[in-house]
Amino acid sequence: MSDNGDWGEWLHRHGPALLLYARQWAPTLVDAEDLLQEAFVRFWQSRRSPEDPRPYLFACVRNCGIDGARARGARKKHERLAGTRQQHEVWFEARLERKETYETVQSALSRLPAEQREVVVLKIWGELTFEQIGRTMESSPNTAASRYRYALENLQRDLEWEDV
Amino acid sequence: MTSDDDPLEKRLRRLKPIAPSDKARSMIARRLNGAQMTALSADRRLSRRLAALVTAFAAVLVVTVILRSPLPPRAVSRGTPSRIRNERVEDPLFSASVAYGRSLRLSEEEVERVLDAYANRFLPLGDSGTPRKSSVMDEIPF
Repeated sequence: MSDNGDWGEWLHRHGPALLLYARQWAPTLVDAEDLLQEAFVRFWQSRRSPEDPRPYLFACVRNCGIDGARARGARKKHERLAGTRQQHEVWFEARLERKETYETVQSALSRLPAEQREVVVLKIWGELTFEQIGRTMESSPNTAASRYRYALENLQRDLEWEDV
Repeated sequence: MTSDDDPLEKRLRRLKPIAPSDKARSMIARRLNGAQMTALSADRRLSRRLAALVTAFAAVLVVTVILRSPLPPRAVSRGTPSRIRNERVEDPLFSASVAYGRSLRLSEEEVERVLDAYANRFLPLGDSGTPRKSSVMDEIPF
């Protein structure tokens, strides 16, 4: 398969999770897609360097997101925005029968601390192991696992409250 | 709590994040193709430079080999070089040899060197131990 075919395959397989991950640093969908473009091009040009390219791909998105936020001098602001302004934008495919579900989950996710939200996105939709999440976020697998556990507890509490 | 059977995890997994738009895909394609073209032209430039370097090295090598190759022994004691040359220029057989040499892409000097080598080998020595003075070409057994 040609290189062009390969990148299309990669983007097809990981694009949705990457875009959702990119939204952690981008205030709007357009910004998130710009971030994804930058990160994916960076990843593709150096994809043969890492032993395990999947966490590296997500790490590229993370680094580009952090760089972009730093460049704008408003990282904290954008992390906050990721949890507030994006409530008006849809993160998940809109299906009528699940509208309430995804709105509820999106709302609960956006209230999580940034690190916990990152771990949930990487674990659930990025399908990474804790080891890979640790590499992506430059932390230990144990830290990733504990953040994930706290995140699920918080979500569980939030969603139960929402369901009531 | 965090196992794959966790109902909350199942609930989350059922949600499908929005895929990147076609516009984002085409932008990525354009940027990757642009990067590929840049890499290709850089490769071509490098190839041209390498080819030029190899050619220059080969040329230096050839010149060095030519300059270091041993010259065939020249005829000795047959007069000064200018005298011998004058004799040769007047010699019709020498002129013919030069013409024949040209057809073999040999220069006049190379023909001379060949003739000298033959002369050195086949000319009989005179009484003084030097080659008998005669037209060089008379003695060459063509």
